[in-house]
Amino acid sequence: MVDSIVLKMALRQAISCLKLTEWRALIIALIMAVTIASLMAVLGDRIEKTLMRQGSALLGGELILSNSRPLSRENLSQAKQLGLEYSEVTQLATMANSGDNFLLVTIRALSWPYPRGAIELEQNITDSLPGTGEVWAEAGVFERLNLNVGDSIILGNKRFRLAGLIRSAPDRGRGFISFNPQLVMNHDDIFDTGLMGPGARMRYRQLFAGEPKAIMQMESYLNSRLKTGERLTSLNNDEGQQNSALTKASSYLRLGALFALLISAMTIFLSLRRFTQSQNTRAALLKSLGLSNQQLLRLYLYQLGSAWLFCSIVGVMLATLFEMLGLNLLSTLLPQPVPSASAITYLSGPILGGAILLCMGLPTLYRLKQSNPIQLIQGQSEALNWQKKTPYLLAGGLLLLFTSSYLNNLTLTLSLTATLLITGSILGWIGARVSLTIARFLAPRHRLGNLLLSRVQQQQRWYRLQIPVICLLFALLSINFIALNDLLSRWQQQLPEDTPNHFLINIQDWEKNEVESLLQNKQINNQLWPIYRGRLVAVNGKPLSEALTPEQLAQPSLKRELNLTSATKIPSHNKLVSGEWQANNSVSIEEKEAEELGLKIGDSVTFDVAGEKISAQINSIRRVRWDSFQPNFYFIFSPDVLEGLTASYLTSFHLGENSPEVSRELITQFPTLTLIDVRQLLEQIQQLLSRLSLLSSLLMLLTTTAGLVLLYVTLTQELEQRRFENSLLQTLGASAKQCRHLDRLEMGLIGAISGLLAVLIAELSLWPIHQQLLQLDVTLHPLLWLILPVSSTLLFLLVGAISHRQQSLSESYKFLLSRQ
Amino acid sequence: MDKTMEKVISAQHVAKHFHTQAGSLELFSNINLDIHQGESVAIVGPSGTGKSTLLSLLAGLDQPSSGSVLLKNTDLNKLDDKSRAEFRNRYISFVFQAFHLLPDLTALQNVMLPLQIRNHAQAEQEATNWLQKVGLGKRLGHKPSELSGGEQQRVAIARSFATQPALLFADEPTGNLDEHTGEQIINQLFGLNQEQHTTLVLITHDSALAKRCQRALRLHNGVLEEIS
Repeated sequence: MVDSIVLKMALRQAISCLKLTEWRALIIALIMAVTIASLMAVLGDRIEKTLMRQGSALLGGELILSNSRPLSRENLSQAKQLGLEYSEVTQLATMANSGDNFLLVTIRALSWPYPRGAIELEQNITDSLPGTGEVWAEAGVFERLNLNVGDSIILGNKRFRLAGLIRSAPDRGRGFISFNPQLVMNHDDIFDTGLMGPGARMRYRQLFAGEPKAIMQMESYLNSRLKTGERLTSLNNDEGQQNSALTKASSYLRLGALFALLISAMTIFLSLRRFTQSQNTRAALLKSLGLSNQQLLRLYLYQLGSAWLFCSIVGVMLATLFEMLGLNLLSTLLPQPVPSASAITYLSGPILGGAILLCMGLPTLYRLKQSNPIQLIQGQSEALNWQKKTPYLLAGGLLLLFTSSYLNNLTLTLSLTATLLITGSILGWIGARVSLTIARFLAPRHRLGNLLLSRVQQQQRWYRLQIPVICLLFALLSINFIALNDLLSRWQQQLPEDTPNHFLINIQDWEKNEVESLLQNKQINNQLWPIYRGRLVAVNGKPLSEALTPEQLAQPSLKRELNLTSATKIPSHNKLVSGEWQANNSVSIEEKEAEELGLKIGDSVTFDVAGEKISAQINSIRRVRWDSFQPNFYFIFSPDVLEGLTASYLTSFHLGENSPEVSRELITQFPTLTLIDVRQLLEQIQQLLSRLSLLSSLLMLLTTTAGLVLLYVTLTQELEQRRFENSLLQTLGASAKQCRHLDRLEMGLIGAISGLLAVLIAELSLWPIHQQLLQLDVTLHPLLWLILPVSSTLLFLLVGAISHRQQSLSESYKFLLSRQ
Repeated sequence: MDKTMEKVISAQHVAKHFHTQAGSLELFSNINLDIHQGESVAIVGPSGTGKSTLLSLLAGLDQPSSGSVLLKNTDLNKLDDKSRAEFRNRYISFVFQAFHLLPDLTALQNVMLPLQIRNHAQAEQEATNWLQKVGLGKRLGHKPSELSGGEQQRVAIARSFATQPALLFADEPTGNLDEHTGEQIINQLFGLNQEQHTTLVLITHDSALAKRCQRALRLHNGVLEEIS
């Protein structure tokens, strides 16, 4: 038989098989798998491309040195000698002001153009840097301040003309600061803004690019002179990319995708098995007509191939649609434009879908080799032998490898799959046992109890699959919803009414009194805290390398400058844990910091504050609530220790309805101050979380669809058995209503058990999230206890009703006869 | 019977037993049967005596527990899967009690199928001719669900003759049909059998049908005996 005829026949079969439940389920599951895999690959790729800063054009250079203190100019001379291109960037966050509107922005001041990658503008401007008195800004600045190109904006003391709208720019940074809309200005202007006072949070960077050899020389030059606090980033060791919030989110989404893929693979496997069984007679007939086993296998592989092609097209189209939706959700969070994904990523869905189909399909369809035309003569369709499990184990292993290469992480894929399988098995076992116990209890008490018990006993192995799938789906949906939305708002609700919602930083010594009196005039309670930036350098007179263990030395608080302050008494929002507050030559340390650094009362600590060494003895240990929105410090010195050092000041206060008015007055009167509206920050976090939550809901929607198809397929697996039972019952005198009742009783029971287990899993998972992540009191979610079991029961009843239609008495009788 | 004619089926000392939970079950232990080209042979016997199993063995679909079955001097069980399939396609056809047409194919496509499997150049023309022969020339494009039982069996007959097989095995071909339709089908089957000079091996309960065959054999208690 020529291939074209086999192919034609396969296509015809693929279409005519659409009336078979199992073939339809296979198609839907495959579409889901392709959609999810393509969507995650494409979204992941685009987000990575945007945020991960792979490639020098996005980093701005091939080698980057950064610190919170100014960097040595000697580095630039060295770079010049090596023939490298370079630039210097000074970055800080501040409030931009345009008339009545304020916006927290990040300023980047550039001395020269970026050595790699250029700032692209919407306008046709040939200059590679803004001129003096001009700034270029991202769309967010224009949109949120309602400005146009040519308008002016005030940064600190200086008014700037918005000369350009940035389409894309390198060196955008990561973390929360990267969510602020950004402005680029000429380095010559930054000092005129007056924003670079002693307390300002600056970030300095030197960027280098050039010949690989020269870059390597520069890297070793810089490494040998690396000062404390300085960080050297090269294209190869860009660790920051691992930590970006959105990168984490994208891995979280990928893990969600794994669950969906496992469900789809399971659905495809079960549908294929049932499909293959249903094709047994057909295969026997084709063999009786002279088709060889090899041709038969080819015929069915072509049929699978045609399904794969169809599902790939539909899946990729759906993925593209969801991709647009997803990116739309993230549009305000991602610097625009988001680079397009490489074409190959769109194919990852079809490739993975093909792998699932082939791994599950080959060993399944191969069983058709067993189909013998004898059954056509004897008039009885034989069941295929499914005993040999080895091919499936091999196929499963192969599939896991495929999936892990798709997720780019073998250990994670294996551990997550193992966790899902173990949790699923435990849940399945518990669920099936509980169903049996309840059925046993009902047996003597309910009219249909005995029938239910026999049904539950028969279906145990399917319950072990149905219960965990629905249970895990519901639990994941709840965790997703509660953890991302509910908890944040509850956390906000738990804060007292007068919790400070504004921080004022960067107050200089000479502005201190005026700021204080302005706030007093407005009847705003506040306390100005002097800020000194310092780094711990010695403990009990010994350098840290000698005084601390390697674990202690790795503490993040030692890797940066800390905000130090002085006070005559303990802050009202801190609690003394041990020791005594003393007014002279003493320092108070925060409880956890003391624990992590192994410091105790009586130890002496030495700090380097702007080049000066200051020392004091620890006399007290305090407990601090970091989420109180009050200024909090690891170290609070007695004022005598820091006397004579230059300080800037910070304060926090609560502004109610008069917020815009006070903000305006503060910014106008003290343009170099930075006023941070915490609500704006919280809004940004909330926006980020709600967008991510929506995005994950989108994915969960696909996963849920995959789960429902699986539930449907598992319910139809034993359909013949159920139909036989119901037919027998009806011919023995039971009414159709009673049969229906038995089905509903069973579905209701399994649904309720799945729902209750889902609540348990959700509550148990939310416990550590509440307690450790958000430090909230652990509470139960009563609504969950109602919603999950009810919706799960309804779901089972619905899918049950769709999957097995009740038959009339005559149909039942005919069915029984046909089984003779 | 012209014994000079080619021997198309030769079964020697054929035995078949099955292993069941209750022990070994012997259907027959020593069946010897020769069938020549163009003969029509009926195998009758009560239910459960192993008629269908014997037919499977004679058609090379099953292996005897001992003894041998040669079809056109070939032991099918010694062939590999591909050669066996080719042999079946070239020399053997079946007519089943349950018709076994592919529901998604039209009458014409069903008849074309075995021709296509053997890469017949004029499969469509040939299949049309055969369907016209069985009186279904006007129902070529109908699917099995749109045909009556008798019509479906006629399509099956057209399909079985289309490849001009040397051997035609029929398993209760009228079992699912009413008496009148069954009669028509049988007339057609025998008519074509004579015309094509095909060897027909038929399983039936119907003694009248058995009498129309040149030879009738009864399988009873594991013994096969000629009854006419």
